[in-house]
Amino acid sequence: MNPTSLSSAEKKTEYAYITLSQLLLCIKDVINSEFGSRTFWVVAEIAKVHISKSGHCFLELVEKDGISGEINSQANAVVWEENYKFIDAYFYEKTGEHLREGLKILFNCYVDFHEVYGLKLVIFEIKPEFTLGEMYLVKEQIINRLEKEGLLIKNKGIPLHPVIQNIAIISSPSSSGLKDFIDELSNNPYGFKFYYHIFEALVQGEGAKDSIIGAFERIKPYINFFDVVVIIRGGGSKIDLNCFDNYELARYVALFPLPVITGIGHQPDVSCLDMVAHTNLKTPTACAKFIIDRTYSFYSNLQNLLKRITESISLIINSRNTKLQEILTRLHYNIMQRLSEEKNKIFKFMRIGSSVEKIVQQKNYHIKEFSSRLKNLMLYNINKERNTLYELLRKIRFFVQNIIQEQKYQLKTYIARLENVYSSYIKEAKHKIEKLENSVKLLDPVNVLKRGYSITYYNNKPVKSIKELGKNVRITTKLYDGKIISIVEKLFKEGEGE
Amino acid sequence: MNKANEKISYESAIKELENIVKGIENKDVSVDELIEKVKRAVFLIKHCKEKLQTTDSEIKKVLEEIEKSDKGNNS
Repeated sequence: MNPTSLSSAEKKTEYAYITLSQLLLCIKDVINSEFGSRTFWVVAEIAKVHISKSGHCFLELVEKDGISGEINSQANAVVWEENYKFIDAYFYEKTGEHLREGLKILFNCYVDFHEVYGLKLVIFEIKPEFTLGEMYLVKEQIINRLEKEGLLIKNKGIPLHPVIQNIAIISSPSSSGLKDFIDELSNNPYGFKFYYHIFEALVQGEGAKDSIIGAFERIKPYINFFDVVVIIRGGGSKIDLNCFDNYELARYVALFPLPVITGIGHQPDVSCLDMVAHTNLKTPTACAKFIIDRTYSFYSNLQNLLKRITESISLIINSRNTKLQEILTRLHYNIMQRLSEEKNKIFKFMRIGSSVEKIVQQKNYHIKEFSSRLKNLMLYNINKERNTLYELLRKIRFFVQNIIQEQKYQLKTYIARLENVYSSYIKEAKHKIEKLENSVKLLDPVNVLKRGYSITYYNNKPVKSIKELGKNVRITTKLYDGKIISIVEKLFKEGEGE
Repeated sequence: MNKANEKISYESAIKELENIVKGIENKDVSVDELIEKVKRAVFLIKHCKEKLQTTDSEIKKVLEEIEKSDKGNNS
């Protein structure tokens, strides 16, 4: 400190003062004497990072209240360019991150005070292991929260189509993983067609979160078209994946309406994004294989079903054939049985026929018997009738005979009376007749014949002329006491003769 | 591809096919039914295979539309 300059200042004003530089130098002295040779291991959170043109890394470090989260301490720090190169490389190698806002770091530093640049912690060593541990803690917290909110299984609950054919790809177009993915898909050995569109996004580093969400937002209008969203990142180092351990991104992906497949890294630990995804695969190639295999399994399922159909058909046909054969056999058997049954029936009928015949004969016999009985009965009746008739007849006859007798008797008496009446008359007539007879007797040819006359008959007719006779005719000559039969020998007319 | 049947999804196709095959395997189908079912099954299988292995111009068109609109959005 320069006492002369101080005194001159005192002169000008009534206050004793020192210059800024004097003060700052004082402070610098104190700090140097107190901290100059010492180094400290300090934990702080990076609030801001600035890399200067000359390659120095300027950091704003803060400490937040554990409860309120408000900043309760703040300090500037620097990593000089000659250190920063190595520190950054090492840190990145270990954590996959460059120093960035939000990271907690454990660093070794000394305190430096500069009159112009003020208090600065000069960092010459950073322990990435601490940050890594912190990051793991943060990740664990994120995972716990996602789990609590049911977001780890949310996207997994969306059914994945048996065939993934329309694919929304989120990737950086320059990513070699994207090329692997597309090559694998396009050159699948089965000739499956896959349709995809690449929704470009940063898939590493700080801007990745917003960029990926942006890509998802652009997919949203086409969720009915795409079967799946595939996030691809690959080819590069295993690090720089911390962008995927982000709660906001994980939540967004978990709630996305399409199943999400991730193929974003090789690291043994999966990221939060992987955890919320529907399916998490190690590499883009694995994603492509997964999709192809799934499609192939569908395809071979089709083949299998076709095979089963073919087999079933041949089985069915065989069994139908067997059944038909069986039916035919049974039919044949049935027909034969039926035929023999019918035959038997016919035989039976024939037997019945003969018995019918017998019956008919029997019936005939019965009828005959019946008719004979009927006849007998009729005869009996007729006889009875006849007898009755005879009786009647007899009675009639008797009656008639009685009548006849009576009549006869009456007639007799009548005749007797008549005889009585007429006998006198008859006697008188007899007398008259006798008288007449005596007179007639004198005229009788017999009396004539007795006197020697005869009558010649020819053909019972008295012959009165010879003209009536011929030669050789038989003539009968009646005499008083007999007849002479003679044959005409000769005929002589009166006057002729011998 | 048969446009009228474009709407058959792989899921519904495979479900229907599995049902058909189960039905056929259970042998509880009449011959007429069997023929119909097999026809349907063969159609579905053919349809799926075609859909899997033949480039679909309709889908291509949709992709082109997406390409256009996505480029517009992204830039």
